[in-house]
Amino acid sequence: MFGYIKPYRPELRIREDEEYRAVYCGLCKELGRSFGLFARMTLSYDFAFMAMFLSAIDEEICPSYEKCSCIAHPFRKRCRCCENGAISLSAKAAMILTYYKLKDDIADKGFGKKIAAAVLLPFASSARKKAISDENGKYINEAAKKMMEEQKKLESENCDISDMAAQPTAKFLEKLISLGAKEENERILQRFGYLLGRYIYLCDALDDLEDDRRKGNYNPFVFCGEEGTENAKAVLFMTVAELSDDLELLELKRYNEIIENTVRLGLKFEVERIINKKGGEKNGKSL
Amino acid sequence: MKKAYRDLVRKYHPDKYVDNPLADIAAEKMKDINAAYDQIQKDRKAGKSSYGSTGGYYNAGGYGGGYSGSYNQNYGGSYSGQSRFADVRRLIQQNRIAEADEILDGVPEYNRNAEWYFLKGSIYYRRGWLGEASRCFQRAYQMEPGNQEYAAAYQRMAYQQQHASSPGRNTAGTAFYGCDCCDCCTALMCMDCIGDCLCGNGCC
Repeated sequence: MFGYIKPYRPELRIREDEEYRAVYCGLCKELGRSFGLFARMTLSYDFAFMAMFLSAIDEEICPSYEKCSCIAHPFRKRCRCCENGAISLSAKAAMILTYYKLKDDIADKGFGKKIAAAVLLPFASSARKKAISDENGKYINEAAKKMMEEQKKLESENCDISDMAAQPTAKFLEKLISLGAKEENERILQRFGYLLGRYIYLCDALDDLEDDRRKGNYNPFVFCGEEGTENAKAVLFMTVAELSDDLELLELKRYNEIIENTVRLGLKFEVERIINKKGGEKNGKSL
Repeated sequence: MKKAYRDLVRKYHPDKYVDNPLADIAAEKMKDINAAYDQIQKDRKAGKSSYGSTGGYYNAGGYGGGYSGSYNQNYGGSYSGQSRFADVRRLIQQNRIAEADEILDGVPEYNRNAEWYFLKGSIYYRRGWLGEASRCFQRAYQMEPGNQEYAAAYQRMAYQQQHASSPGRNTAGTAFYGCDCCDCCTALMCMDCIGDCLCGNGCC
C-alpha cells in the first residue's frame, strides 16, 4: 500500500498527535523485531492507520506505551505503543503485501525497478514465510494472492470501469479489516474495508495517471480521456463520503478523534494534494 | 439533552442511509435513541413538574414520531403499487443483491426505463461501486426528472462528489472548510488594521 491514509495533522490535538506517532513508532519497532531491519523500510501510513483502526475496534486490546529511542531519531526519546495484536497483524499484512508487490514489480516494471525488486525479494520472501506461520497470516496471504491474480487479469483485459478495477484491492481490505470481527460489527466493517480498499486503489491510480498516460501503462482513468482527473476526484470524494457515513455506525473503543480526523479530513486532503501537486513533490515524508 | 438528542438524530438519520446496506443498523440505533429519549421525558414529567412544560415538545410533532413514521411509509409499501419492478425492490430490501441483479440484467435494453436505471444504481451502490451507481442514478433522473426518489438519489451523490461528505452532515470537524487560508489571512490583516486605527500606537 502506498501511504494515502493519514490524519490531517493540523486538526489533531497534541495528545492525539502523540498517540498517532506512538502507534506509528510501535509498528516500525514491531516490523524490525519480527522481520528484521529490511522490514522497517516498508513502514507506511496505511499500516499505521490499520494498526490503529484494528485496535480501536477490538475491545480486548489494551494499548500501553513506553519511552524509547530509535535509530532514525537518535537524539529524542519518543513514546511508543508496545506490541499488541493489532500492531502485529498490521505488520504481517505489510510484509505479505510487500512480497507480492515486489514480485509484481519484477514482472512488469522497468529495468531499474526490476533489479531493485530482485535484490529485495529474498528478504521479503523470508519475512512473508515468517508472517504466514499462523492462521491469520495464512488467511491474509490467501486474500493477497487472490487480489494480485484478479488485478492482473483485469489489467490484461484493459478494464475501463474504475469500480471494477478497484474491486480486488477493495475485497482484500474488506477481508483484512473484518478479520475476527464480532457479529454485530461485521457488516459495517466489511463495507468500511471495501470502501477503504477502493480509496487506496483509486488514489494510487489518480496519483499515477500522468505517468501511466505518458508511458502507456494500464490505468483505469486513462479511458476517461481529458476528464480522467475530474472523474477520479468525483469517485474518490463519493468514497470518502460513504466511509464517513459508515464510520458513524461503528462504535470505536479508542482513538476516536484520530480515526474520525483521518477519514473525514485526511482522506479528502490527500485527494486534493494529489490533484494539486505539480510535478515535484511525491508522497509525504515519514514522521 | 435536547441538543444531544438532536445531534444523534442527525447522525443516524434514515435519509442518510437510504439504500445503504447498513440502513437497518442505523434504523435500529435510531429506535434506541427514540426509546431512550421518550423514557427520559417520561421520567422528567413524573419527577419534576417544572420540566413538564418543555417535555413533550419533540415527542408531539418533532423527531420522535416524525422520523420513524416517514421512514416506514417510504420504505414499506408505497412503491409496490405502481412499480414495474416490485419484486426487484423487495429483493434489494432483503439484501439479496445477486438475485435482484440477475432479474434486472434479464430485462432487454429497449425495456429499460428510469426505474430500471434507478434500481441498477441501487445495486451498484450497495456493492460499493459508487461510480457506476452515480451514473445510473443520473440516467434515471434525466429520463424522469419529476420523480423525487431518483432526484434525491442523484443529488445526494452529486453533493458527495463536490464535498466528500453526505448532505446534512455539519460536524465541527468540517466547519473550517468554507474558509481557505487566504480568507483567514485577509481577515486577520483587516482586524489588525482596524485594531491599529482604533487604538493608535500598538496598544493592541
